[in-house]
Parts: sequence; C-alpha cells; structure tokens
Amino acid sequence: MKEMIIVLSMADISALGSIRTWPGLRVAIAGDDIWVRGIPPDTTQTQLHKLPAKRTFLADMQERLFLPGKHTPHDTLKKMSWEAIASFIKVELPVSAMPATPNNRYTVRLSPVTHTAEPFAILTTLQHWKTYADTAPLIRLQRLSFAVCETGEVLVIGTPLPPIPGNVFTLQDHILLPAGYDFDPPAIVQFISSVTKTESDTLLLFHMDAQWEKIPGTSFVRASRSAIRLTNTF
Amino acid sequence: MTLTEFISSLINKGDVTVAPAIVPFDPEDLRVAGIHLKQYYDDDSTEMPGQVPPYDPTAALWAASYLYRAIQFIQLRRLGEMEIKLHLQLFSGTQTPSAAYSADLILRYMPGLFKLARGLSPEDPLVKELEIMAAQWPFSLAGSKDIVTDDLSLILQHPSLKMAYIDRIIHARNIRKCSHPACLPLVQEALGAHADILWPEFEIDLTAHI
Repeated sequence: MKEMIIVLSMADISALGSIRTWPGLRVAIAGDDIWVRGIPPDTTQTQLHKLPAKRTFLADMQERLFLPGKHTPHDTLKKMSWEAIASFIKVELPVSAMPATPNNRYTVRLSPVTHTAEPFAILTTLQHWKTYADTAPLIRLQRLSFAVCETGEVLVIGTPLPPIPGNVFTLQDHILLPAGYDFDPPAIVQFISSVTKTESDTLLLFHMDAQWEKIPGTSFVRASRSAIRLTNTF
Repeated sequence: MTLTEFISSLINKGDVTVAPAIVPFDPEDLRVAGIHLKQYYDDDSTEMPGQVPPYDPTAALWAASYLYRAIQFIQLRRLGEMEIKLHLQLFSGTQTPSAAYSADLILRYMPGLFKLARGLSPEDPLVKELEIMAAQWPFSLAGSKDIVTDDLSLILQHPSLKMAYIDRIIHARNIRKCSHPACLPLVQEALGAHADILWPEFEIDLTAHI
C-alpha cells in the first residue's frame, strides 16, 4: 500500500495539531469531514492512534481505498482539493494569562562620565554667535548650521565647533547630551530614540537636569555671514 | 544688451550677452547700472567679514564696463590691438580698499573670462591686456592660479579685505598663494588646530612648496 488515510470530524480539527509537523501530510475538507493523507502505512506513532479518527483507510497506487485487513477495495478516493497540513492549521501564539504591568514611571537621569567624545553642538547666545561670525574664517563657518529660539539662544551644530562661550554637547543617535554626561544607564539611549520616534533630521537636546526639547531639522540653516547677521529675535 | 542688463544677468543668472558692435554706453544706461551696482554692493557686503570699505561708484562702474568690453573683444575677433587698447582702458582712479572691493563686485568674474580668452589664443593681444589689468586687482583674482601678485599691501592693510582674501585663497586651495610670507600666518590662524579636518593636504603640500 502506498499510504494511510484517516477521516476526522470537522469538530476535531484541533486534534490535528499533534501531527502538524509530520512531513508530507495533506488535508482536504469534504462536507463535515477532514481527510488526512500521506501517512506512512506502517507507522506506529502514538500520536496517530490518539487521533479521534472516524474511519481509517489504506490506499494503493490507483487510489483505491481498503479497510484495514481487507483485500478487496472498499471505495475509491474522491477528487478533493488537498492542502499541506502546515498551511491548513495556522499557529497561534498563546497570550500571557496574567501579563505584568509596570507600576512606576522611569525617570531619565544623566550622570557625569569619565570618557570624553568630540563635541558636536554648542548652545550659546545670538550676540556671541554674531560676534564670532563677523570675523570668522569662511572655511570654519561653512561646516556649521544653526537654529535660533525666540529667547535669543542659538544652537550651533557641526565640527569643529566655534570657540565661543556656551554649553557644549555630544551627539549619540540624534540625541545631544551635555559634554561629560551620559544617560544612567547608558544603554537607554537606544530606547529613547525608539520611544520618541525621532525623524532622521531631528535632534533631541537633553539638558543636565534631563529636561529635553525636540529640534526639527527644518529649524536649522547653513551658517553664512549674511544668514547670521540677518537673524534677529523679537 | 545694455550695461544694466549685462550686470543684472551676470549677477542673477551668471550668463551674459553683449552687443555685436562697440558703441558708447548710453548715459541713462550708465546711471541705472550705477544703481544696480550699489544695490549689489549692499547685498554682497553682508557676506563680507568685518566692516567693508565704503562704496566707490567710479571703480564699480569702470569694472562693469571693462568686463563688458572684454567679452565683446572675445566675441568680435576681427577687432585689432589698437581697438583693444583704446576701449580696454585701465582704471585711472586711485587704488584704495574701496576701489578694490567695489571693482571686485564685477572683476570677481574675471578668472572665468581669462580661461576663455587663453583658450582662444594664448598669445592674443587681448590676453596680454587682461593680464596687465588683472595684476592690478589681486583681490579679485585671489582664486586664480595663473595670476599671482606679490604686492598685497593694499589688501592686507584693510581688515575686511584681508580676511576675505584669505578666505578666497583657502577656498581655492591655492598652496602657492597661501605660502606667501604675509598670508601663511593668516592661513594657519584660520585653520587653527583643525587643519587635519579642514584641509588635510595643507601641511603636506606646504612642505613640498617651501
């Protein structure tokens, strides 16, 4: 015989989960029954014997169906639409019975660190920035961009930074941290980037007290003497 | 194309056309051209370092007229050396920082014209005439590798022109001009401790030129 075929009631479909990973099994639906074929005729697997099969057949090469132990065919296999058992029975992930809920909000903290990184930004005043730009070498200005807020603070980004008074920041994954400080623990920098859904050209500016502000890339303009001279706050 | 249209097109679009014959500029055209040049001076001075020299309308208008005629001589190849000398007169005023910057508003386009003229005929009387003129205006030819002037005293005496000149020769990556004894300390000051980032080849090339 070529293969064994079993027939189950549609109500017992979940029982097929125990043999879902068997290779070569195919399934078809006929009315309220589920037909399963491709089972090796000499299988001794216990999962098979546990299945609530309504009927069991052995099929030959001509797809004639024999009842077990009989030498004359009982029927012929009807034409049905067969499907691999793995795609017929989808896997569903179990849900947690009692999922945990966080009790406390985590407060982001910054701590001093001993390692140093190249500063990438400086927060200064518009007056300092204008004074510098008035006589700064063009080759230095061309590598910088700046954004101004209405209070007159200017954030200058780029390297090398201008030698002017202000607070300097280092850059990590679109996050500007005060120079000499890092997140506590440092690993949360990646978590913050994903939680804030920061666009690629947006910067998150963190202050030493962990207060932060989002600065869109559109707020920055390329540094040039005219752009800086013509910038005013009201 | 009038001189006014020539200036406007040069500044705003970067391309120009000139009249097919050399005829004197109309006085009204010269007056309006002067207004355009002054406006350009006001706009351009916002990009200059420090306090720019005062506007010199005579130098600015002379430079615009000179460039216009020079382009005509490149196009009108039938005109001879006599006509070139007659119409391409050198600046007759005093060379001052004001004149240098005001004329530069137009003469900064000369390096491109030089290449064009030399490409037509290196021994052309026009090229020789342009070289004589260019040697008098080193501020405008700062980026040119072909025109090198040792006397930079006029430029270096004015803080704004001095910084702008250093900006230009660094931008052109002109090692020869940056190696000028009066310019080298200023170039090094501009690069500061960041030459390896701003111009990594600078120190290497400098040792090769000394």
